[in-house]
Amino acid sequence: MKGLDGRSKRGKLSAVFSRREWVPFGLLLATLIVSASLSESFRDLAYLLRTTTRYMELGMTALTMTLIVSAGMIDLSVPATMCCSATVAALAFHAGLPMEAAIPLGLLTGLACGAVNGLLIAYLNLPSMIVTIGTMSVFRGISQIFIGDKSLGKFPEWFNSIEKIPVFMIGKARFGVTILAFILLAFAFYLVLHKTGFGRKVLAVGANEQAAIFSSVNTRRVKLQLFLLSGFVSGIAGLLTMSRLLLVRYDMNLNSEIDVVAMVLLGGAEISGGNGSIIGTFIAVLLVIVLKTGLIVANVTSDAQMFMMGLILLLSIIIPNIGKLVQGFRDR
Amino acid sequence: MKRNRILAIALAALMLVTCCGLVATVSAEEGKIKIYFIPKNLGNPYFEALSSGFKDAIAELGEDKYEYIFTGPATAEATSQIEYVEAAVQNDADAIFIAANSNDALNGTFDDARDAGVPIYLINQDIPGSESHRDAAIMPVDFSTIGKAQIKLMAEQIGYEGEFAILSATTDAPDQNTWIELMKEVLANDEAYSKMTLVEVVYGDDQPEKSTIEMEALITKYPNLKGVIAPTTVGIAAACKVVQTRGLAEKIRVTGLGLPSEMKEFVMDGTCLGFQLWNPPYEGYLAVYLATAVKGGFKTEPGATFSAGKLGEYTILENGQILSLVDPMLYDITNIEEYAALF
Amino acid sequence: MKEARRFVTQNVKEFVTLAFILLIYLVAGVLRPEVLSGGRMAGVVNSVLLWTPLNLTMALGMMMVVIMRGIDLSIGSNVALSAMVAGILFRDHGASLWQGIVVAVAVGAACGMINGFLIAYLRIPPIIVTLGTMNAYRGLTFIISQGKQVTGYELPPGTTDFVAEGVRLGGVLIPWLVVISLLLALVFYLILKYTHFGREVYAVGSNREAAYLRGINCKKTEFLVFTIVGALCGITAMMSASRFGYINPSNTGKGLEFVVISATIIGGVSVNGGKGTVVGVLLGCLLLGTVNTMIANVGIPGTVQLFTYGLIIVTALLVDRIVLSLDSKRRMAQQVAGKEALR
Repeated sequence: MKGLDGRSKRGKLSAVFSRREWVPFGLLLATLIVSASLSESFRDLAYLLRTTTRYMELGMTALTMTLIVSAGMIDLSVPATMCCSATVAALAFHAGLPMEAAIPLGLLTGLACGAVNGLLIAYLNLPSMIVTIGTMSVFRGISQIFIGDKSLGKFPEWFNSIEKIPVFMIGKARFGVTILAFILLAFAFYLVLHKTGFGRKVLAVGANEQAAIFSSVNTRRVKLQLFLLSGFVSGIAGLLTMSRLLLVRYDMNLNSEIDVVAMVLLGGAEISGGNGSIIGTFIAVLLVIVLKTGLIVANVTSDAQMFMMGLILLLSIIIPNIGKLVQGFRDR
Repeated sequence: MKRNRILAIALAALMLVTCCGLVATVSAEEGKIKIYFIPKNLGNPYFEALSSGFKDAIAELGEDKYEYIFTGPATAEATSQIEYVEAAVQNDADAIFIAANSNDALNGTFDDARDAGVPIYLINQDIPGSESHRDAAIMPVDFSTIGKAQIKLMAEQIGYEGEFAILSATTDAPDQNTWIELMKEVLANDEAYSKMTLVEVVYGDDQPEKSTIEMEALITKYPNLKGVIAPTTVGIAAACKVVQTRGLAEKIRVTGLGLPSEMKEFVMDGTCLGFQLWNPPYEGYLAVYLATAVKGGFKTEPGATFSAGKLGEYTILENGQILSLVDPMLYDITNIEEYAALF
Repeated sequence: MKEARRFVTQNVKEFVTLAFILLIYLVAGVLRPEVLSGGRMAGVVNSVLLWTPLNLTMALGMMMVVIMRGIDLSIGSNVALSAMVAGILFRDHGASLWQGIVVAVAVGAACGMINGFLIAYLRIPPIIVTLGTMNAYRGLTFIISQGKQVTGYELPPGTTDFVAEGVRLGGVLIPWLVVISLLLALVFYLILKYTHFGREVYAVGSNREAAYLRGINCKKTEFLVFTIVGALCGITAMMSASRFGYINPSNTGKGLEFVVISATIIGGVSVNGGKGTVVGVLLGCLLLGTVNTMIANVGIPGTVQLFTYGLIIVTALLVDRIVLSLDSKRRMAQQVAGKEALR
């Protein structure tokens, strides 16, 4: 779908219209219209921007996950890494370090978690899914050991509620720091994946690892770098979550790994690797936000929300492939 | 091909509209008192029971005067309740009743809600250490009595001597940990229980699988075990199940806090001699009356009293709590059938 | 002797897993010597045995899916849905146990067919389909049950006998659940090894193109595999009702997918497709069962259990990988030596 099929030769405009990202975009528009018509409370920019912030943290990790999925792997330990980094930063602060020093420590922890995953997956050739299922318990277990049944909070005033610092205001609606950070990060990752040599290497590893090795790509290094990146961004996201919640607990973001994967897949990344789109993931993050917020504010219970989420996931993949599906039905 | 796709998207949009239309509740009408009840998680029979109390009170006071919304996350996790509180505020709720999954993770959210003029009431538990972030708390019983009551019940069932263990929920469940501390205190200070030893506290995470494994391990680890206290509904059901299937009812006595409907079979066949709980529907019933009173100008200050229909007068205590009952109730073979039909 | 050695070298993977299980017992014995004493041991073994059936039954299906380079994340939700449909029939329509089992298997198989149709005939990647249906089936479970659980006394009598009764084998009681799952394992062993269909599964998994060219109807095979997984979900659903004694929309089957995937991959099924044996999967399940029960039996504190569990999984993977790479090096050396000897 990336201009390799015949249609793109017909011209740039046609290429733009044949992009995969139209599907999440269409669904986004549809859910926006539905949500707005369902509930009056949804039609409030201030509220939308406020609730959006919460998902932006997971959205950031969905960006790195897009890269990892494009390289044919998966990282289920992301929420656990977020939790672990936040824990270490909080512990360091409570051990007497200034917050300014605790934050880099938290980020380093994220990197370390990524390094563990990366080394196991890249250099020992272990399958990423099972490794990260294992490390997910390890990382969260570390914070459980240190925090136990308590929560660590009472951070300095400047660290609390960073997401509430406005970049600019639209009337009463606050465009906060976290939203800006997510957008900037998305832009950076767009450049990385689609415009740099590293991005091409990532896609090459995902498309065909053997071929990538033969064309002198150091696939192990690429994989390690990806997981380091994932760990680092998870660290940032974890610290932002901690700042929003004013504290850290060992069950921070429990069970949300599936949400991150869903965002990436909704965005059109192919799970088998070799194809991924940051724009798609960006739109998918917005889609998930609108869907969840819209349904919750319309008092739809979480069971029906789950049902809708599943339906949307299936639709997002069925719609773009209707033509292919008919064809696929015929061949092997 | 392109037309196909546009058609498909339109189709999807249509499907969404119909689906949402089917599941969405009717939007608000003016003049009604809008009450939100956010449980720890959905699909939890305990909160279903509590919710029935809300419905009873509303049926009594007039269906057309209230809008009652029972919604919450699918899994009990601390931060997953935040968006539901925010949505309730956005929908101009008159009162939010919440069984919080954490003592302090929702503080910021509660503050925002109260700044927006929506009162926050904890229900079924309080948030020790964060009381300043809520308006009042409706408690099932005086929690400080639970430790004593549970130990006494256990003692009666095992004859005031022998080894026993506690099967709790998660390691970070605030109310559980308070009760366990109280139980330990009673054990250490009361002469009557000097022959009883608490061998271990284990955690079943309120999951059937984990609770079962921990219970089985307790039996294996302590051959002389005479009793288990499980102050959590999932835990006590799992513990009774293990004892029942292994035919150990005579040897190991299980008690704790459970739901009559879940415990009926174990009480009827003698696996469990008796367990305790309060009356969850009372809390919901009380909540509706509280919200109505507040809407009519009542201030939730310590010492203030309000009337709650058939339950009588209630006073707000010094710490902002309202006790729906004072002591936990005992459920056994004499009354289990009656209550199992209710909750 | 030589044959024995060949047997070992041909099944290194399985022996490594077996050795790791023994290692866990050893470590547990060092940490807490009394765990390995006679009376205790029986309890531990019973726990492991009871942990296994649900996960083994599911792992048999997951194994086939993974052999075909797929994955099924929807199994937990499918188990919940089929259990709930049967549960509602039990509760509201007085269905008998056998009727319930048939219905559960039928519902499970139908859900599996939906997965299979989307995956095999519409060529949508399994992870996306099953991630979607995972949400959809769980949501549906809540919707049909209205969030209410089916409790013990609403299940037909005899449901839980499958845990308490069984075959006595030299003093050790093997519960029916375990017998059933082992029989299923035997059936799948025979199917995968000796039937046309079984060989097709491996063929499609190792090289779809080649399989197609050899005249295998890949789609039909894939569709069948997912349908079988669905039917297994139905069986597991009833096993879960039998073991835990109730059916809950949020608890039943929760998190099953991750445990089963772990057991499958630790049991040596390759995520790259085409490789995997029933014996390996059985050992994988036993390994995880041992880890879970030992963590409880050794008395590792609640807050350290999660960490320990993760660490053991990662270590198991590491050990496996190191031994296998040493083994393949040795084989290469042997081959080189053999060639040189020929010269």
